[in-house]
Amino acid sequence: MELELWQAALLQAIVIGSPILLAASGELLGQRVGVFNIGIEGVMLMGAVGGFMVAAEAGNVVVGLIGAAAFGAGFVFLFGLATVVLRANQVVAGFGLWLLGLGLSSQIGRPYTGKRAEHPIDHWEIPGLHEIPWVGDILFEHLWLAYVAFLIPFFIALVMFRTRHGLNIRSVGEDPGSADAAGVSVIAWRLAYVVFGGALIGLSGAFLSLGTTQNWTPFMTSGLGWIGLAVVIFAGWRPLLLIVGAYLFGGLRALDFIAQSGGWNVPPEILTMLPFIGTVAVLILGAWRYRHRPDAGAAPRALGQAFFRGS
Amino acid sequence: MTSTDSGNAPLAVQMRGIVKRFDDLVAVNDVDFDLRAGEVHALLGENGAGKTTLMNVLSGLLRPDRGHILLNGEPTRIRSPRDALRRGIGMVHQHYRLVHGFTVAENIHLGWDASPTVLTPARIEERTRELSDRFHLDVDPAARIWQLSVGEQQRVAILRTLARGARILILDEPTAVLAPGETDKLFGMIRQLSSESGRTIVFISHKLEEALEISDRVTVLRGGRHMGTHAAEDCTPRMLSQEMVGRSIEFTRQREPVELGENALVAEALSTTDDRGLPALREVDVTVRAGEIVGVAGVAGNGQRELSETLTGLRALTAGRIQVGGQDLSRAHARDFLAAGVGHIPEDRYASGLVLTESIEHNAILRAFQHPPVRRGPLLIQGAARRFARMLAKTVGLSISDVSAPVRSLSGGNAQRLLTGRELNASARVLVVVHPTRGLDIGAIEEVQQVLLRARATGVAILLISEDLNEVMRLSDRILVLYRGAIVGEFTDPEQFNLEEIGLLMGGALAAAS
Repeated sequence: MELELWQAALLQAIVIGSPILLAASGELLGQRVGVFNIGIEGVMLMGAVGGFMVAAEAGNVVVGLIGAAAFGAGFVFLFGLATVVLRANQVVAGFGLWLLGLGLSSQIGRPYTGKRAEHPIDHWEIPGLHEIPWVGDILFEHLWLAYVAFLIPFFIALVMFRTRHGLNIRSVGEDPGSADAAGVSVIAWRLAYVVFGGALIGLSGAFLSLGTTQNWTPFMTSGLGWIGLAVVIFAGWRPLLLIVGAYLFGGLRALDFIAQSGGWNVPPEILTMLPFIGTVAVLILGAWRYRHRPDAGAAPRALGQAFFRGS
Repeated sequence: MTSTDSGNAPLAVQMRGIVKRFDDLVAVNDVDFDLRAGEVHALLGENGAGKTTLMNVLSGLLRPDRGHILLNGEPTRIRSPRDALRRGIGMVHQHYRLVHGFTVAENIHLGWDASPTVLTPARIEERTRELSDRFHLDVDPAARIWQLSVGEQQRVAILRTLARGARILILDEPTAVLAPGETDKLFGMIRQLSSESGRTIVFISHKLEEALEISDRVTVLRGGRHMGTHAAEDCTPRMLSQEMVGRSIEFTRQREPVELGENALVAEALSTTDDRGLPALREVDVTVRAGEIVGVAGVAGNGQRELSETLTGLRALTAGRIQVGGQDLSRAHARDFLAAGVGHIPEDRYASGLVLTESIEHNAILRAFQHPPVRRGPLLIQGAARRFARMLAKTVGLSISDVSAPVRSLSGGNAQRLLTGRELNASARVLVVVHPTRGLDIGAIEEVQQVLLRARATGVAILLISEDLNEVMRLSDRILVLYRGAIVGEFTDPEQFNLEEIGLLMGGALAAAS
């Protein structure tokens, strides 16, 4: 079937947007408890290589994905120890995490470089829906992990805004001193959610190596992690808006490819920049719009700050 | 006296030999402290006496380096605030530790095991309403904390602590930021809690009269040591103040009449907005003459900060005029205000007055480094800077051996003296002073106030913005009351300053006054 240009754009937006959504969901969990993990790109790479290796050795894709989550979580656990428990500077530690992930993943993935994934993630056609004319095959014939990625923000929103537990984790990112005084275990929740977020970021890496490309190559994430970071800011730290942001930025990222097939005369570098220009624009708009509302659409107040009891 | 020779209520808490150190500082030194079930117990002392530290130990926020605690006679280790609450001990801190972006209901239910697992805003607001009725504490469950007055925030903090079953309620300087009217309300609440529901209350304060008014027993700390515990009816303010400071201090007005000069500062119909863009000052008129101290009384958050910032060029006006010595500064920058002779002692001396990590010398020249002799061409002359700093220290009676030591090494009182001296040196005409003695001990308060009075005698026009009503009344020649960004009252005769009337105006109870 020949796809119209808009159909191709939509398809690519979802294909590229889904791993961004997973990574952004993981990053959001960390940021909501006040931990800014800029090493997200390195964590994705660890997840990509870990998932690929485990799937190859175990001969099973689900085991591979669990491996990817474990690689991501374990890798971020180091970061959590440094920043949450030992209170190191989050930006410096995150930078280290990124570079370490970059190097470590290419090193441990060397034996697997260039091989095809024997047990990739399957596509699921949603019964009935995928036969809808025009959009059915665009929206409802994806990797099953893409549907999971779509549902995760709903789950996060539900827990975060409709449960006692969610109230507690939000308070840890807003005002850890007050949360502590109210009886919330700040260090424990911070560590738990940064690591949990790391698992999701690891999964997003495996989405690429076991799903989109079905092979492992060093540096294969090529900036998607940074876009995930931008999506969190774009969404104003609100889980449901992650979905909009991820697909939008996925679509912008796909413009490169669409421009080529459409024969547009635009340098690809310009198109690659678009998500980041979009993020800056949203930041400016957001700052202007929420200037007078200290409680809405803003970053968690304690984002990036180490917690010391009594300070 | 021993802890059991009067009264027959059982001891709810016994703290024994508590020691708490912070680096070199021994904040609490071998202190014994008892609480009888159902009493109101005032914990008195100057700033830095160790009151809050001692109670932080009891409420689980800090662990003692030595000593032990018995609850109802049982030796107990209190591991965290949560652990303390489980044992019925709750503390309401001076800063209420509420999450400002959250609603009242969310703050009440935060970190609380008894909150429903699944909670919607409507559900927790309903629960908050029930708690509010049960404890007779009126709060708006859906309001966000930043929208509330300080008194309302305090009620939320108290309600939260009570809701979690605190039988022992520790209130840390609860009256420090309240207007007199709100204080009466708080005292009514404390009496009700202790008499009707039998709760034990610790009332931390450095205000003698308040402590005597509200408490059954009083414990005095000084320099981290236990000075004595007395039944309130056996105490006089004089004896307690002696115990608190180690000598008795006379509070007399030492103001000599000064010939008033011309209008040094004239502000007409000042209006401006706060950081959120909401109106913070509404058509405020202020005139200060040379040699006059004009006090601005008001509860925090009624426009004091914005007033001081507009009068020093740090915040733009939305309407109105400012003149200093006849020169129009309505649109001027902070540097123009300095050049026109306006000095500023900001409300937080460490946040915006001094650079903590920099040397005394560099802090001293902050207002002078652009002029000779400290500056020569593009260069900073180190020797001149040092001489300047020494000279400045001398004028405010500060004995400093090493001006290259960081400001951090100075005590609060000495830091404030350095700042006051610097601003007076830079600007001989007008001084805008905000909370000049907040957080200082009694001795340092006296000294800083003397510096201000000496400046007044030399013809400086001083605008004194302070939450401490006693200070405003002691120093001012004239008092303005600021409420919700507007001047709601003026008192022109120092002999007839009326604490009660000013207090009512601060609380917004009266529309007009003398």
